[in-house]
Amino acid sequence: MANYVEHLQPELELGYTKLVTVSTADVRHSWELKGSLAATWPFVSDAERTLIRELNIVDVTDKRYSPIAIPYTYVLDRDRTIYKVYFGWWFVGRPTADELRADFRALLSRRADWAYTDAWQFSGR
Amino acid sequence: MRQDLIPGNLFPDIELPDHTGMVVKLSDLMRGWPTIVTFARGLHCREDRRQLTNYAKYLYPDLMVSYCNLITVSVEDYLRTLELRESVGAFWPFLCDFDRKLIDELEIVDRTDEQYSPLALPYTFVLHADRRIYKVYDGWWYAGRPTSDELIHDLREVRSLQPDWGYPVSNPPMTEPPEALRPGRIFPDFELPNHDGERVRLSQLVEGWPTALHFIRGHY
Repeated sequence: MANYVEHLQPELELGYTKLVTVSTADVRHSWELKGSLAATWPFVSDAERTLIRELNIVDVTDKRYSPIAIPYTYVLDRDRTIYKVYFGWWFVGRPTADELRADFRALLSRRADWAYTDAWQFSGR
Repeated sequence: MRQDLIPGNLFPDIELPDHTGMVVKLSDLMRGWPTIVTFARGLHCREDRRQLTNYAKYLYPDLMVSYCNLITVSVEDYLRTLELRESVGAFWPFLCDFDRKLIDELEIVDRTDEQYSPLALPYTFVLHADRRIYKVYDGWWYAGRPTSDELIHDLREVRSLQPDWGYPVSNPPMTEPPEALRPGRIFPDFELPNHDGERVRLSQLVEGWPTALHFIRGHY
């Protein structure tokens, strides 16, 4: 996430894109983590593990902290349709800031007002 | 370049002194993990300095949590190699091929530089855990050298071929999300407390814009 703070966060708002982190830490620890990273995007807390159980993405291998989330990243379109899934069990499976930027571009380019020629027909974003 | 140095073939188990003067073997440095081997012209080369500075800043911090290795081979002596390593802020091993035996053997010798020849042609090899070559980048021109992002993608491909890539506590090991969470499906509109303790729905956070939803292990 330090990579996202450095390379993605400055562009999130400019790009009309969002980042949401789900953690199994409680609210206080989520707040601490967010603060320690200087992240400005929202963190949500699944301390009860209800969401990760419902989604069936539970990791039970960690001796100290289990059950925790298997670190997937979902790229969602504006209506929450899943566009891409990254499997981050190993670090190199997680998306780089550049990959998320490219995914956001691909999703935004589907919009009718993506091209300048059509922009006049729409009143604002 | 020697004809057998192509993807799929075994990269030689080279043995050279490192930047501290200790003779090391590639397979010992790899410890059974995928590895990137870059050949550098040396401290005088500004392209090398740029490439390696980028790796020190953007690639190596990720490699430290990725179970993958980075190794640089230079044709300079210990002192110059150490200077190069320190000048770019690198923490990975640098090997010294100062008698040019290795680059001769691999047929990656550049004789065009009037002052410093013979030098290494600045190739980068991405190796599987068993030293098979996955990809080769020809860095004769700077733009031919792999970016940090390209190397992360390569390592993802290489790692994903290893049998331990999936989440192990399932049969077979899980690498794909459950069926209901595959591309094209609508992600459930869950409600959870945010970092301030206020309950929010995913749709409130998405607000009609593309969103990366990122599950993390936790705060530790």
